[in-house]
Amino acid sequence: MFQWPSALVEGAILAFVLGALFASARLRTTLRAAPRTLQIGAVLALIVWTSSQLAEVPLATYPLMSWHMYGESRDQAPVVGYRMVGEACDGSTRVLPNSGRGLGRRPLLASGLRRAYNDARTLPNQRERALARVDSLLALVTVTWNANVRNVPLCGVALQQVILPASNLAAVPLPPYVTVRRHVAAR
Amino acid sequence: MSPRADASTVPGAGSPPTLALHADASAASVAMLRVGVFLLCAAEAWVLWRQAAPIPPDAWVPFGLLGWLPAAMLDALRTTMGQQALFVAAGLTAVAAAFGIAPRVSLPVATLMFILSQAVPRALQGLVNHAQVPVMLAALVLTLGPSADALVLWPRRRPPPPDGRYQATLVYIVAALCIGYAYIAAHRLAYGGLRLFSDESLLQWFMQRSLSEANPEQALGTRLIRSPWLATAAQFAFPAITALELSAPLCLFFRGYRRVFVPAMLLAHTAIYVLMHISFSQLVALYVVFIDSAAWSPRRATLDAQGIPLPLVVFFDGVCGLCNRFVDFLLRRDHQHGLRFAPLQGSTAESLALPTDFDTVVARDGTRTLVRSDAALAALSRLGGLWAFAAVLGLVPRPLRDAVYRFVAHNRYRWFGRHDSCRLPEPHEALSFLP
Repeated sequence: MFQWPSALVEGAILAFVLGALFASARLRTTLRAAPRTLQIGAVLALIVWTSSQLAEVPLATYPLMSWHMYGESRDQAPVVGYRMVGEACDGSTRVLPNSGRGLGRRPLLASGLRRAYNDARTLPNQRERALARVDSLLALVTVTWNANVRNVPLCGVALQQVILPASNLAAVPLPPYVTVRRHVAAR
Repeated sequence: MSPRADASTVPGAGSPPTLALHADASAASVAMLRVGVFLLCAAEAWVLWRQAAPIPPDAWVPFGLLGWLPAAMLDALRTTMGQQALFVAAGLTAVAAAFGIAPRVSLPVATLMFILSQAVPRALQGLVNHAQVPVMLAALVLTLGPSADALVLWPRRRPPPPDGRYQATLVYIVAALCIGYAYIAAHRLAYGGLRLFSDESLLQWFMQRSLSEANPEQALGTRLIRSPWLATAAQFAFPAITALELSAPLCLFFRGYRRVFVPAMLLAHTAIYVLMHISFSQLVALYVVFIDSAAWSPRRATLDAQGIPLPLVVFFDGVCGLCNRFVDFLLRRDHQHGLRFAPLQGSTAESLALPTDFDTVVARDGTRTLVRSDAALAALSRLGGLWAFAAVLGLVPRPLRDAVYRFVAHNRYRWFGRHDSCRLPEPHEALSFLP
């Protein structure tokens, strides 16, 4: 989340790092040996990259975007986990792996699903849109699975959620998973 | 440990000092990296091609270059065939860029295709991870810098650029990697501050990933959190890794720092993969640029006072069957006449006071003397073309390479025979041989 004081501190740190880096005559001499196109391209890229880092426009300038991963304290917020449970047409259920042949080796599918449901949970003004996205992704999981694992066709997929208090991360056993969204494939 | 600065000077009075990292980079060094980077792009395109599937309209959030595409093209990209067409184009152009086929077109097109094709599956997630981003930046640098002057399927007509430009190309890639790491740390310090390192945020992220596993009770992240010692170690490692990331630009200047940074970050990325299932394999493959290119690619030839490249002189055991076969092998492929040969028992070797141990081939490059596997690899890579890739074996630790070399050398007479006298050159080989 963008915050002015933190952005100023971040700007100061970046200015220090870049300043110290380019203060080196050895580095400047080496970089100047590059063709003019590369030099101009690098300066433009650095401007876009740094702006994106400071002003939170991480996606629009991909791949010159912010590097904000794992940068902010979670402040003891409960840990929320999600998993997909496939419902086979014979009535049996199985926990689906996050990637692998069944999902066409698409780890981003599971990740997108978790993110979409989390948006629905935490952003009330985007709830309907986020839930529609969750349903679409669950449908896609079913289609992908059935295309890759033909001997165990799925007739539905459930998204399950578990919430663990941050104060008891090492809880044994883990709290039970609860189904929060379910997709039933049209037969 | 006091890191040793990588500093050297450009020959010539009054020349400003330059970086020692990649100082000996040749056209082949950059071209080898080009081959590696774009083959990596081609492999990614192949993986994505196998993942192609129809995407419902509201299931994805186009971003970056994807967001600029017209609606009709976006609709096509949501179909299996549309995605497959993009990934095939990305793969083919990447192979063309790797092998220098029409480089002025293939390099920029392959880079754009790689960026677009990586954005398609990530649009499903509505978020990007950064594992492929450094490869994109490397591809961009290789597109804008001179990278197609060697290892191409046909020679270029234009004269090659000055040698310093090859070093600059590699240093730009190292700088991009280092700046990326510094940005991660800067954000962490500015927004997370000390609280981030003192609370259990790191363990909570581990747990969040473990809870998404098929069997969370057995996930390694869960086990780590339940072990007080391992959890404490992870908590201590977090600020240490952040400090390394912030100071990553030191890698450009200090060899000692690179020796700490590279293994530590490799360990960190391995831990992230094991505990959180986030793979940084592409980024890690690019770590080769932290190793001086003199270790994994052919060095530039040493120049004489007139600026003419000096040949590499290969001294060999003149009576050894294996050594003579090796010399014949090199002679047949040395089309650029970059090699000279002399027996270790001859007067040239004696005048240079070379090692008297006949169990090793010796290569003399200007004033530098290389022995055992270093000498053999230098001779092979000096042949040019695809033989330049022999230099990659230089990444294998020298003790390991030399142990294999010593084993073969020890048995060379038994396995390959021994001549009674030194090899005499054929008349057409006379110019390549020294006494």
